[in-house]
Amino acid sequence: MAIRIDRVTRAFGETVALSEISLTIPDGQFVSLVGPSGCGKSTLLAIIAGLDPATTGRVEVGSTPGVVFQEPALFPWRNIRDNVAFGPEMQGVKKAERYSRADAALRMVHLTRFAHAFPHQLSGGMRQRAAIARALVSDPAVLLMDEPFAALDAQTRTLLQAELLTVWERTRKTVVFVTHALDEALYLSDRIILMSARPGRVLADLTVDAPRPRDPQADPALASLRAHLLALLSAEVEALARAEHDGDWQGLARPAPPATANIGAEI
Amino acid sequence: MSSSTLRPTLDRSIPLLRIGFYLLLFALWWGLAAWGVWPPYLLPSPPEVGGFLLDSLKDGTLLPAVLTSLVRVGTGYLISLVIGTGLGLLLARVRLLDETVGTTIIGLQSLPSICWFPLALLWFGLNENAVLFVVVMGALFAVTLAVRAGVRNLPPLTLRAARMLGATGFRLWWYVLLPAILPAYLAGMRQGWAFAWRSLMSAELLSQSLRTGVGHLLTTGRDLNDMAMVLGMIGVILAIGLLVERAVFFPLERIVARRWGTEGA
Repeated sequence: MAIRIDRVTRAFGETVALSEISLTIPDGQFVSLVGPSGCGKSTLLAIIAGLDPATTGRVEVGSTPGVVFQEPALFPWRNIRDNVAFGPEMQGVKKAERYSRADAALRMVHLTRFAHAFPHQLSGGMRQRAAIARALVSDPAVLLMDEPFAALDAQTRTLLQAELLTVWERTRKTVVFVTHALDEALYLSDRIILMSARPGRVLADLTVDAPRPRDPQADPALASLRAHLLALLSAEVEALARAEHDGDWQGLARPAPPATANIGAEI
Repeated sequence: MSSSTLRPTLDRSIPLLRIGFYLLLFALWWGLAAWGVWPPYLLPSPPEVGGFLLDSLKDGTLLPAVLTSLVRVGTGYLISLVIGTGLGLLLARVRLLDETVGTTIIGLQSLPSICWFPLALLWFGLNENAVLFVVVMGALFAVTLAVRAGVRNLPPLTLRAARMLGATGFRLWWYVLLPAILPAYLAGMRQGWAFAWRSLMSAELLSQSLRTGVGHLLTTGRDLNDMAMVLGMIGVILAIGLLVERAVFFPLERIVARRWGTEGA
């Protein structure tokens, strides 16, 4: 097992963000955490990363995971290569060794040509690729990604999703991928964990065994999975809306499939 | 930038425009002096001021005075950099200190540092240390607050990423916090320099016991009713302040802005 999460609860004061989450993730699995905003999926990821403590419960992760955040969070004063080599540098790895590791990680995300560029000289997509290289550089067994492509434009996002799959197929790392986009989860993952609105619980734990590369729109198996997830999700979204609105929430206008589908897919 | 309000064809000629304006001012001064509206002991002409500067260079009064002032401001400035950097980092990271010492410093920043002079005289006596104290108090808070703001305005994600990559304790400070705040730090350093220089001039003008320094030469000019000397020394003091800013801080800030990608921001 790469990750074992045992009855993890996280509370911020009175607010319970996560309630009794238990999950085991086997080595090499690509898992997506999906759920409405505020369901605690990013909190769960931060707890797995060791950046946040769990209020109760335990998380077991073999070694230090690599983390990719929603923003690249590169250091602007270091060039791309030195950014990628930062982790090994902090671990006290010798210069020649850490640069050869950094170069290997950069090759993996096809950024070799820009090794000596500074972050501000790169596009958003390239910066996020550099952030992925930085997470991969110490060859962690587990890669944690917190909506890594949410801030990118649609074309770049598609490109990076495909690139991530290539990297994953090559390295077979265990990936935990937080996203709010169903199609992204369907395209990428072996397994989708659907979380409920606050307090976050595991609502559904589904295996996706369609062959890759996938087309979530065209593949009938994926389409029915998507419909199933959407139905579960929109119930959660509605629960959330009821909690967040004034109390005069009328419910989503039901017979409007395209609109509903859009709302669901982009929660 | 203000230049964007001018037409683009004007942009390239702006340096010329400035030089032209300064020449015009100079000509105006010369013209007024030559016209004789005010007597020469109130408004000396450019040749008289130039003559004083040349004489003081030749008789060896100007350069030692400049050197003395530079040593004073340099010492005080370095002390304020060391204390200010440490204090700023502490304030940014220790909430309790910030709520107490931090708010006090923000309040004290509006106190002109020369107001510390009487106190410094009583504490240190009529000597260099009193002057040094005023210089340090002039620059210290600007540096402190710049460091504090720099750390506080860091994106939280930068710190999270750094910690995730193993930068903890001393390494977090040295490899992440300090370089990350460099743009803000430099701005604070430049402001601190300006305050330090002004504070020294106030102290040198006020202190009768300091027998040298450019500020002292300026008061001597007034005591002697030598307006050429007064104007000449004002020019020297202005030139030193500007020169350090242009020759040291502007290039540094430009390098950092280019590297950090904050140029034009």
